[in-house]
Amino acid sequence: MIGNFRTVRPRALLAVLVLLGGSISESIAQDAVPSHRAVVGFTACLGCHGRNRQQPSADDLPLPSPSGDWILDNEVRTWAGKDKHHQAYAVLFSSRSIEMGRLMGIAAVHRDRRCLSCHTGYPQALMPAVKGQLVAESWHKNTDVSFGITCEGCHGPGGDLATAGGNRDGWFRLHLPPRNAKRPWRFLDPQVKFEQHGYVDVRTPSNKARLCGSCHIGDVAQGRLVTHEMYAAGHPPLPGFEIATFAAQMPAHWRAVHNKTDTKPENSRSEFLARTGDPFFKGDRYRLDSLHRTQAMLVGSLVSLAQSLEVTAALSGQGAGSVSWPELAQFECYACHHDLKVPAWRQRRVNPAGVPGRPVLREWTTVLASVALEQVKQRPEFDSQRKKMQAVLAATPFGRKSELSGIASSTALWLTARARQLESHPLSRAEGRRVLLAIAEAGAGGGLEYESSRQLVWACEVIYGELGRGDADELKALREAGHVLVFPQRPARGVGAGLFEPKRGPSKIVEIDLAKLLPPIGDYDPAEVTRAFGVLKRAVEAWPTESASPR
Amino acid sequence: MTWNLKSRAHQATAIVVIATAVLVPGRELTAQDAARYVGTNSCAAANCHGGDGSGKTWTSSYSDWVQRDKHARSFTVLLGDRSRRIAKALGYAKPAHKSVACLNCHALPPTPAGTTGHHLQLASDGVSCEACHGPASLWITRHVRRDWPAVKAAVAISLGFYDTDDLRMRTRACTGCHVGGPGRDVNHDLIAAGHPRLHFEMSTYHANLPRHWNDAADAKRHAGQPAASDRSLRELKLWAVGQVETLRARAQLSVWRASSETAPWPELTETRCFACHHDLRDARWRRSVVTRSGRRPGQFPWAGWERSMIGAVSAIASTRPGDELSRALVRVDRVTRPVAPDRDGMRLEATALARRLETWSDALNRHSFTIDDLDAVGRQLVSGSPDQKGPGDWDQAAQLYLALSSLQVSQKQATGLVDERRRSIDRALERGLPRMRAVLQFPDGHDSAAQLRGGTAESDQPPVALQRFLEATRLIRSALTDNRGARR
Repeated sequence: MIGNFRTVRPRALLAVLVLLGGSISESIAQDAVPSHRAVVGFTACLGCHGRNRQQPSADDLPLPSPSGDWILDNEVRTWAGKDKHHQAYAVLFSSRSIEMGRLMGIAAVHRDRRCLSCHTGYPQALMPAVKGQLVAESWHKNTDVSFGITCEGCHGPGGDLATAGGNRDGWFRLHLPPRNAKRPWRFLDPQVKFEQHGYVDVRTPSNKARLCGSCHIGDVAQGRLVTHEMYAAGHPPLPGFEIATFAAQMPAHWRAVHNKTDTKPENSRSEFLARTGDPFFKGDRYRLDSLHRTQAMLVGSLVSLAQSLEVTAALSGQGAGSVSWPELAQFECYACHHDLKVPAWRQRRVNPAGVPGRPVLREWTTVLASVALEQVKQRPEFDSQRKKMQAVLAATPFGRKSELSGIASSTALWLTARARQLESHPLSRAEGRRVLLAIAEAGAGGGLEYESSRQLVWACEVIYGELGRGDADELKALREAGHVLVFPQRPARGVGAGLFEPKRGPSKIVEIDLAKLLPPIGDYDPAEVTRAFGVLKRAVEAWPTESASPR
Repeated sequence: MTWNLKSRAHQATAIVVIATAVLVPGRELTAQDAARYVGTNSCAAANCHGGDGSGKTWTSSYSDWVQRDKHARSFTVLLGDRSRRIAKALGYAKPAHKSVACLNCHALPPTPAGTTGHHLQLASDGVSCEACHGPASLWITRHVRRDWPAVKAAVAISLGFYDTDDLRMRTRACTGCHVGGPGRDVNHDLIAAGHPRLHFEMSTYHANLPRHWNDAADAKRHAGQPAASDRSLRELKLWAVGQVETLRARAQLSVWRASSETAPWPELTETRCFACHHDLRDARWRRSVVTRSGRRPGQFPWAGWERSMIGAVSAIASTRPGDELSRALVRVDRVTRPVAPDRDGMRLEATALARRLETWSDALNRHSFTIDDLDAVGRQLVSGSPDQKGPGDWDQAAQLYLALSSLQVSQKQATGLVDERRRSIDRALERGLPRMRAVLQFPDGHDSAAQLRGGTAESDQPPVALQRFLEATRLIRSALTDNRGARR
């Protein structure tokens, strides 16, 4: 690709890739994979990350692990046994995928880069097309492709061809224990880990949200886009994304920082936090009782909105001859896709587009972001930015293309900066209560469609859980009122018999049951959830203000 | 001034006036004379068209119309709650009854020459006489002469008279508002604000219009070649001409929308309502409908309601258009593949399509319809697609229902049902049509085809409602294709 990689500085390479990709966010640096990286293979991770055969119990107490209570040592087993990401490639052989291929004119769905860009973790930059959008059939044999989104799919390719010593001198070699003593990997700055060694930062909330969002929301530069054509061909709808909920659902295969050990010198959590420049630690402000998950959720909501706007910006910014815009997948699905009812709750609320019947961008993306921006006291600025966007969108159906790209990308940049601002500000319990009130107020205001309602319900689950009030009556009532917002799940249907099913017992991997999920959405009326949020708001208002902790 | 014929001065003036009137020829009307609306006051005179019903039909046309025709109330509707809400939702500066966007259809329409009838005095009559018969200023005195029925077809254009005796002209009087045109556009903004959607079908709407004319004479004029001299194939002709003219008007509307500075683009009503307005269910049958049509999934098809019956109209063999029409339609489909079609391309292709349709409707208008045409159309309507999956959406199903209803009337009027075959077809329609109608009914509280929900991810069988519809069409098909007992 670019001549002699050994002499090209990683930063410059990154900059070139950023320009080529057309994406304009400062966080994009995490995603682009330079072509001198190489995949080591998840089988190499098994040695340490698969040696613990114990699985965490239901009460989630951290187990002692062979490597000394820093990592869990069973990550690969959790992923293989319970994580849907492991099945991501396998589903490309299901009858639904085959039918999608037939409807879209794709010869082999499991070889098409438009599908593989999300359905496998293998870096797309390292998997070139041989004919149109199709990669070679032989890639199917590579277990780092066929085992779905493997370790390096999220954590970054562990090898580096550019370093002396061949294939394995990327972060993989560096993070192994024998190397640690000389160059302690653990205490390197995360930016250095990524820029010099390609190790993706999955701990900082904004970087984590962006990593997950690159598939779960989309990333045009990386070819990660679920288009409306795919939906119409049968692709399950991408639900509104919420980082804290989704990460816990995986299930989480990591130890939370507050569970990592601080007793042994080489595993010192305090030193780790200090040396890695953790924003929660600056000025000795790290507190175990800060609301980390809530913080991650709020930061994530800003990043998700930014990413969604970046996709809109990238698609609407393409040249005059391109037909990528309007891309209907960027617009609110249920704004069009509902059976027309009379009377209708949609006609009772203020039209979000400004003009009756005009398409709006995905509504769920703004719901939690508005709450998050109140925390950094930037809500008025956001509201005025939103008004500008709305004016551009209202000017003509699907928005005035010439202006949309500019305003979407500038808003995305601004939001990313706000996300960084927010994550350096740990959330106290009292602030958590204020966030909860803001959420309840948003919910009680009514007029929220399905996905937006769900964002707020998930947010309540996260905060209540972190405050130790997970069994509060008002939360239970909210769950009850919003029971159709829950993903109906069923055990994943096996696709390749024997290939992806565990040798012992039935698969614990679950998938969403679309036959149960989709029908209630059409009939969804926010009235009950709105009422439940009103009740919740009053309950939270009645809490003692000092600590917000349960008696 | 009052005449005093005893005065010499007055006598002289009178002689001059009379001489001028007799000797100087009437001023020739020139193209610069734009016809203007004059209002219904003159038409409504008791000894003109405002009679009491005791004389010929035309003597009480106005009285019949003002009492029974809904068009007489189309202005008053603008004063109601719904209209108020629509105007408010759209942020109109003036209330509905003063807004040009509403008055252009709910009162007198703008003419190509630029005449408007927005003045309250004219508008308050609703869609009155001149809306369909043309602005009267140039023909109002001419039409009282005895020779008018003989000359009107020839002088119509120059006088701004719409000769509604001609079925094509009659249809155009309707489609101008009921499909739309420049300044008369019920677009998605309006519908989302609360306006009912437009779905016009000429023979149905014509049948529902209270007669303010001598219908028996009209049927005789357009009888075609029916089974006997007291029968008529006018209904079939109305249906056929209506279908083609409706699609033509639709194409012209697309041309205007693509060219207009004020009309929104892309315009969501360029495609079908229920292509988007359906609940999302994991239904394979919906996806398979798309591939049957050769479209990519998720594409917006151009028009829908208006083009459903084109195949059936082509069954009238002697007037069938050549390949150029289907090619023109293909080109329109190609240009409308993107969600936001290229405006220039749209204008070009839709204009070309409209021209082809104009030629076709002219041929149909001149054609003398026969019983064979009736049977050919009937067979084509129920022939269905090879895979027997039936109509793909509500619009197609509804048009099929209306076409078969029209066919039932046509058959009765053309044949008198004197032979057994005709009677058995009529019986099949009598049984099948109510079933089809029941399927088409939107469920309570809905304004869209929610009854078409259903279907699974595994099977591409259409939902139960459509299957019932299909059964009813099969019932009718077996009667139509059964040739026993046939007698001319």
